[in-house]
Amino acid sequence: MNAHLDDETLTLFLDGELDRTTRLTAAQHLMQCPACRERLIQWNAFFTALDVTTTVPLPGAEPETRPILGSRRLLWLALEALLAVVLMAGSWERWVDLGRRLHTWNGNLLGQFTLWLASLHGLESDLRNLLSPVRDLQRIIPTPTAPGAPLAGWIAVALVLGIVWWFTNRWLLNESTHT
Amino acid sequence: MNSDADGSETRDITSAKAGDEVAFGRLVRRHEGIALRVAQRIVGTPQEAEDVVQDALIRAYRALDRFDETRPFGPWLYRIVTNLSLNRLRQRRDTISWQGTEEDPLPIPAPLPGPEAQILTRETHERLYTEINALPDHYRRVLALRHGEGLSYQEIANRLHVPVSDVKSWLFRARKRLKERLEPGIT
Ligand SMILES: [Zn+2]
Repeated sequence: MNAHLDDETLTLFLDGELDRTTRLTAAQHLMQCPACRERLIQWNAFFTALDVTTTVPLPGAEPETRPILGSRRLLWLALEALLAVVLMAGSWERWVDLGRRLHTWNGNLLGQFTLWLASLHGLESDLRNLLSPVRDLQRIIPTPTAPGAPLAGWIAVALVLGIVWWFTNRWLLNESTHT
Repeated sequence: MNSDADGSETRDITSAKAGDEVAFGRLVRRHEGIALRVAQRIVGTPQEAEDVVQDALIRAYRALDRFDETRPFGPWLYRIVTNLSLNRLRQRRDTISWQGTEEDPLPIPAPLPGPEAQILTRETHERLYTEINALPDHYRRVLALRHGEGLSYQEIANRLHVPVSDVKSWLFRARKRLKERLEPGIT
C-alpha cells in the first residue's frame, strides 16, 4: 500500500488489463492516495481524448481511404513526366533508329512520351511495392514524400532505375552498332 | 468538443443554479458521454458505469450552488465520477477482501479551484491528431485498435499477429510519448 502506482499500472488499470488481485490492490491504493488518484484522472481524461481522436480515420490505419491522386501523387507524376522527357531526349536517336528497324516508328512524339511515362510509372509502382522495407507500404504504394516512406526503399528504387536505364542503353547501343 | 467558446456552458450553469432543469439537462447531454467512458474504464461494465454517472449527476446537481460558473463543468463532473467509481469497486469486495477496509468512501470533490483538464478542445484534438500521425506505424495501429475500435490487448495481438507483450509495450510507449508532447495542453 505504500508504493505509488506507476504510469503503466495506471494505464493497465484503465484498460481493464490488470489481473484481479493487482487490480484490487491498485484500486485500494487509489482510494487512499490523492496523488495517484489525480494521475488516474489525468490519464483517464487523456484516454477520452484518444478515443475521440482515433475515431477519425488515421492515414496509415485506413490506407484504402487515401486519395489516389493526392497532391503528392501529382507531384510524383510530374517528376516522372520530366524524367520521361529527359530519357527520351537522351536516347532519341537510338529509339528512332530502333523504331525504324522494327517498323514501329511512326513519328508520333506524343505516343513516345506516353509510352515512356506509362513504363516509368508502372516500373516505379512495381519497384516500390517490391522493395519497400515497410510491409504496409507495399499495399498502399506511398509517394516518396509520404510520411514514413523509408529512405532505404527510395535509394533502392533509384539504383534499380539507374541500372535498368544503363542496360537498356547498352543493349540499344549494341543493337545499333551490330547492324 | 466541449470548449465553451460561445459561453453557452457558463449560461447553462448559471441557469441550472437558479433551478432551471432544462439548462441542467443540456449540461448533462454535453458531458454524459465522456462521463460514461471515464466511469466504465474504472468499474468495467456499461451498466455499472451508467449507475455511477446517474449518481454523479444527482450529486453534482445538489452541489451546484457552490460551483463557480466561470469554471468548466466537465472536469469537476469527471472527478466526481472517478471518486464514485472507485467507491463502487470498494463496495464490490467480491473475491478478495480489502486490506484495512475501514477507510471511508471517497467524498464528492469540492467545486474548488484545482488543476483542470480541458481535454476535448478543438485545438487539443488537432494537436493530438497531428502527433498521432507522426508516430511509427505500429504505434498508430495499436492506438487505433484500442481507442478507435475498443479491442482488448489479446484481440489486438490476434489482429496484428504479435505477442500480447508487444501490444502492451507499444501501447504504453505510444501513449506516454503523446501525453508528454501534449502536456501542458491536457493536464
Ligand atoms: Zn500513490
